[in-house]
Amino acid sequence: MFKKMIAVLSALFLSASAALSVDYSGKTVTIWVPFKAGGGTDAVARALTGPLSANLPGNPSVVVKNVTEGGGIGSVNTYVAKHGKDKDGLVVLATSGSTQLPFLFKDKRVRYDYKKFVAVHGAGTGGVVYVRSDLGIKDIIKDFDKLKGKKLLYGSQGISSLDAVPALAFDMLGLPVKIVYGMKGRKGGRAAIMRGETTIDYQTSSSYKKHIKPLVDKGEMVPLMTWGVQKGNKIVRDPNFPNLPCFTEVYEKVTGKKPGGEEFQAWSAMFAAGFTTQKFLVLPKGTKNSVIKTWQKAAEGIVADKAAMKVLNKKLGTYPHYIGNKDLKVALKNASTMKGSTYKYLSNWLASKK
Amino acid sequence: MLDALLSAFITIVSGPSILFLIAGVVIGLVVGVIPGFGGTVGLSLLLPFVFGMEPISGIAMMMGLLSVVATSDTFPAVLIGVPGSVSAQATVMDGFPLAKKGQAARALSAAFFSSLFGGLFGAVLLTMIIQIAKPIILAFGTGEMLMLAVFGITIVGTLTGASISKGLIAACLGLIIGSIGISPGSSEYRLDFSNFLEVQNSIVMYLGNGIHLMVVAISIFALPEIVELLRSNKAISEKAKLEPSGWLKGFKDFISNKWLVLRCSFLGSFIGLIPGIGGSCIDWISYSHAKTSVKNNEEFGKGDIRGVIGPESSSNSKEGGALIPTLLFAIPGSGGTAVLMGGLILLGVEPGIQLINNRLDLVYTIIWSLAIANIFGALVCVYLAKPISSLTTINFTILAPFLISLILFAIYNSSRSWGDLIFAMLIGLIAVYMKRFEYSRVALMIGFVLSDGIETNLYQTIQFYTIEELFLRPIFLVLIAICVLSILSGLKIIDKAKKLSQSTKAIEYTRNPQLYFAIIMSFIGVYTIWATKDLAFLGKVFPQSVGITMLVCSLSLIYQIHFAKSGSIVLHDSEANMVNKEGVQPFWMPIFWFLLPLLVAIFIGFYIAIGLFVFWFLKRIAQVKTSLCFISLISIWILLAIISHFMVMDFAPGILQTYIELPWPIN
Repeated sequence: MFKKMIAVLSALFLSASAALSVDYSGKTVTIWVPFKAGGGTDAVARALTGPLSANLPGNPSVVVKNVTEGGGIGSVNTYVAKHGKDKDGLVVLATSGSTQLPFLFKDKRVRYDYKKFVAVHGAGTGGVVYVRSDLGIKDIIKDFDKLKGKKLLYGSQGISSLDAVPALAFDMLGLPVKIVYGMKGRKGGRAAIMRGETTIDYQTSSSYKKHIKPLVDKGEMVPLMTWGVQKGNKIVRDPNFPNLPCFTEVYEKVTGKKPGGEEFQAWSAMFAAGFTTQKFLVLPKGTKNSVIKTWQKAAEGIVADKAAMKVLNKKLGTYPHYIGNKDLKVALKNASTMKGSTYKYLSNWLASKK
Repeated sequence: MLDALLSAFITIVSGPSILFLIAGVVIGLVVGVIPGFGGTVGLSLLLPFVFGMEPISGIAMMMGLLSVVATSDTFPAVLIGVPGSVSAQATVMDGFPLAKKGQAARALSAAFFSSLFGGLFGAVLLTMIIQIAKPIILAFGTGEMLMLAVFGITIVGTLTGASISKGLIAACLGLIIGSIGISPGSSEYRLDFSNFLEVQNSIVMYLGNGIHLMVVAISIFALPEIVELLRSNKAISEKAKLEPSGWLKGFKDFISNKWLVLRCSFLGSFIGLIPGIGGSCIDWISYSHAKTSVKNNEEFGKGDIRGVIGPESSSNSKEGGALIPTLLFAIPGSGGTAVLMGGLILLGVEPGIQLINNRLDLVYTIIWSLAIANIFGALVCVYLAKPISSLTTINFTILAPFLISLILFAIYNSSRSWGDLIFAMLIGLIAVYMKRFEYSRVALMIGFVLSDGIETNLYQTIQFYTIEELFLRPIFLVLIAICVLSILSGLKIIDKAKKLSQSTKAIEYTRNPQLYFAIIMSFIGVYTIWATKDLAFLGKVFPQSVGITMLVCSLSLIYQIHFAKSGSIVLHDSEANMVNKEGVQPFWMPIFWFLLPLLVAIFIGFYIAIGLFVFWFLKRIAQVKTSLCFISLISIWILLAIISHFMVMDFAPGILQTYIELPWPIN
């Protein structure tokens, strides 16, 4: 008993001193954003600067640095080259789906190993698929055969991007969607469907609420389904849109099968990297444990901060935030690993789409 | 509506917002004046301050900045021939020649009044049509956007010189440079030298993202001008004394060209309204319009004030136009509005239909900020026009090292990469020879900015429409007619230029360098065709077609040069007029001066190198007193440190910095 108490006490003491030893007072903490100022990841990172400063010990000033040399991939390569061996957690990297998907796709330009990052905060989002109302579709499940017979055009920013998620989903459902590339971001896809040049599109939850919902209310667009959210091992209805079926639900109803096999595993991996945990704050693996703990604790503080969360939820929609070492580890693994056979399936599929 | 308009005005002018607006205007003026930094850079540097501000003040500050950059960027364009930001590209064409004639103040003041009018025009248009603009914007599908881009290419004819082949080669070169990077159709990396280098090589990584617009703009316009000025070792203005009351003359020019101002303002707002074509081409379209629509246009390109008034009216009016899709659909119409949108989101103001429906007061705040900032900015600029234009009477050799420092610093910060500097020098070198042999650099620029628009829209149009469908779209047909008219007027102008150049009869210098340059151009065509051969069809069809056109044109040019009679229009070498002049530096010398600080920077980093360069240049080349050289060295270091600190910019590191940790700013 005595021994146990000593062990507990010393553990407590150790962890307390470890937490105490990290002090950022008078220092500047940098959030390395591998994208342009004003973009989605940048906005989230900037929204985090104030709360991070308030929650990190010593209240350091927190600044955002947009490093765009070499684009999203090149910038993360540079981060690893410059700060990959840092231990003090003074430069944290903000990642997004565009950092994670090229890693999953084994893009030759990627020089970073995603598994060698330690996540300190993670956040996700969702997406809604919708069509123009002049297709005359009201409900994707009831009107599925009618939908199949329509001229379906989707404006995509390129197959090796987040747009791989809808493209594979349409294939799995057997929807004959013609994919037209070269759109400038999801914004471009939205503009094309508003002009009537495309007929089917998806937007992330926050963008859907802001820009498409008003059109749905006017009767110009009709929502069909969401991508859903990950709950344990299952994908369930998105709580932000409880009246819309999720993709897996639609799949089951129209094909009569449960989703499975290589194609569904590939889709799930991309969905995890592109939606469930789309944005991470990560530190290099060699970072001191005490520093990682400090950062993870600061992230917990932010999630408990209502004002900060309001801004973040506006940007991403109301989705779970990942905090705590255990959850973060699992989340990072899900967003960055894929079985060999799944990868093979995916790369063949990607090649067939080019 | 009037109530909302009025109350928005009162909110701005009565509270602290007006102070933030003025702060924005002041920063915008500075950002515009420094060559190479435009509204996009300026706004990005404001974002951290804006975040957490009260929305109205934040909006006032951002709009203050955005609306004056297109006004103040005229200073460097006119005075030193370097566009302060992309929206002053076309102003250089006639503004700089005017400065050489000692009429800098006149050009500046005409530009500022035109810019002021354009800005207000944009604000009024924005007020009137924001609520009804939706169908207008949506009527422009990919087919129409394609024709707008094609129209942009057809104006090359009206701006290029006497030889059609040379103009086409330049345009093709621009299209090829523009297609470097990820292909829009197949998401493949193109022309990034991955055919012979590792994909993780830093040059391949750099090219994978395409070459930055500002890198191309500075290197093709600024480099050749500076090189030429350095050779002649004189002040920019050929007259020692500037003409008095230049600003009044500029105002009179503005008044007497009021219809041109109005037409170009309309053009700017209208094209700005259509997202997708991008603001970069507007200046050239209105320059071309000014040139073709006025009488006696022979002086265009040599210092015609109308060549300044046209693009300046549109470069500022386009912001109003570009704001419409930004606020209405959250789809920005220009680079500046894209960052503005990011800033608005940070302020908690979400652009989109809901904003127009529910928060019209905020929309009017934006419009009023635009208008007030324009008036304020233009007044300050007019006031400064005369004192600042006296810079043109200083011997250029003294200005040069400072200018070279700023330009190199700006180029590096386009994407904070050595690649920016390397490719700026490479393109700059080509541009120097293009100027010497009379290839149109404007054609290159237009090709570059339209490359992506043409390729993407062409590809999408084919998939979205059948030919019959396209020819049922009235706007598409109107645009085709405009393109045809533009080609016809281009041919007319080329014809005129031919006659003109035949009457002046160029002296033949030597034929071989011209031949070699044409051969290099044909190699670029061949390289483009070869390097893209393994890509998917959608990735290679565009660059290969351009490459083939380039090859055909340059082969025909090689044939023409080889067999041309002495005095033919295809032969042109500005060196011919230089050989017999005294005190002129050899051709390659100033190019070497440009490269020198970079070569040193490879070893010791840009910050240290540039200071030493300024010192050395002033001492050896300009032969300034040692004490002044020291002061200059210190001041360039302080100036760069200040800019770098406030704009969160970096200096290119050298080998030294990779081995030793050094404190800011020499890290």
